[in-house]
Amino acid sequence: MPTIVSVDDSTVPGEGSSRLLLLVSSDNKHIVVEEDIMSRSRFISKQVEGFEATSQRHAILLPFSSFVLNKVIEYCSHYRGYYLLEDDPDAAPPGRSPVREWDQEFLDVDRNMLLRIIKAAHYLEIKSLVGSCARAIADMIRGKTTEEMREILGVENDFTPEEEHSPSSKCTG
Amino acid sequence: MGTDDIMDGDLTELELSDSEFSAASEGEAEESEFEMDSKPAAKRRKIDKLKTNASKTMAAPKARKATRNQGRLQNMLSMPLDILFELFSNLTPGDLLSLARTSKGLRSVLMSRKSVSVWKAARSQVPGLEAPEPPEDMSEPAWAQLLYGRP
Repeated sequence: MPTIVSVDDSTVPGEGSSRLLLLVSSDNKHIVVEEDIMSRSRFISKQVEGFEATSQRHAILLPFSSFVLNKVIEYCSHYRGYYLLEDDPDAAPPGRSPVREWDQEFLDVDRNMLLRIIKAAHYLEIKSLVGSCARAIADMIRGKTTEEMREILGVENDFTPEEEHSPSSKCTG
Repeated sequence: MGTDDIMDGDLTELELSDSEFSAASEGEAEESEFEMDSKPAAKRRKIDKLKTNASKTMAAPKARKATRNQGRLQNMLSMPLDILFELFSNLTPGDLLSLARTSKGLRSVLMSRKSVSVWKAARSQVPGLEAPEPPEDMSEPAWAQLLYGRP
């Protein structure tokens, strides 16, 4: 019965037609992922457009480890098929990204991982994820002292003692 | 209280060992094979250590804190400006002032003209009466310092 195929298609919309992408992480791990999962990434979408224009497909090399990449893929899989305003290239640029409970759970990782994820999300142009990470980092440093902020952000104090005690109003704005 | 002290000492020690392996893989990706393999191991080691040292008083929130505090290889200053601005947009004027004091790099970003909108946005989000625009001879950061700065 040929109809079975079309039933399958309709129960999992788009899945039948989704092609596969080969992503290569910086630690040279090869990860195969469905194209429509990664379509949230503007960077990947542009690559795919390129494939279609030249009708040649190749692996996409990414400058971060598979550890981080898998985390990003997990995020994209969770929001597969969802519309998120921040990721719509045609939408007006949003302000602060909204609080999403799932994201807060998902980003409950050590700060180093968080900073790695935000970098990867920025590279892949996934605005919603950049926004959620930025919110998570902000939550960590909100209301903290300067010294605590240094600790959290991994920033060295490179001021001379005089500079440090001069109020920031010394600036040229 | 006593057990807390032990815990804290232990954390510092772990932090050190962690940042050691972090520094090794800091050259970003080339050595991440190492990172991939050692990360879970490090975590396990940490948990084991915490368990043996504080098995009786070990509470869940403390465990989370331990994960949070590990390693410091990623530097905020190595982030693209877009990311910094995204972060700034989530902070209050008081936070921005503290952040500007963390390092020269962050100060110069926050004090540059490009950041004026960040300060304006932060000011407009302070609950209560909306603060007026700064006087003509005053920059946004100086205005924030005057209004929200800690003495």
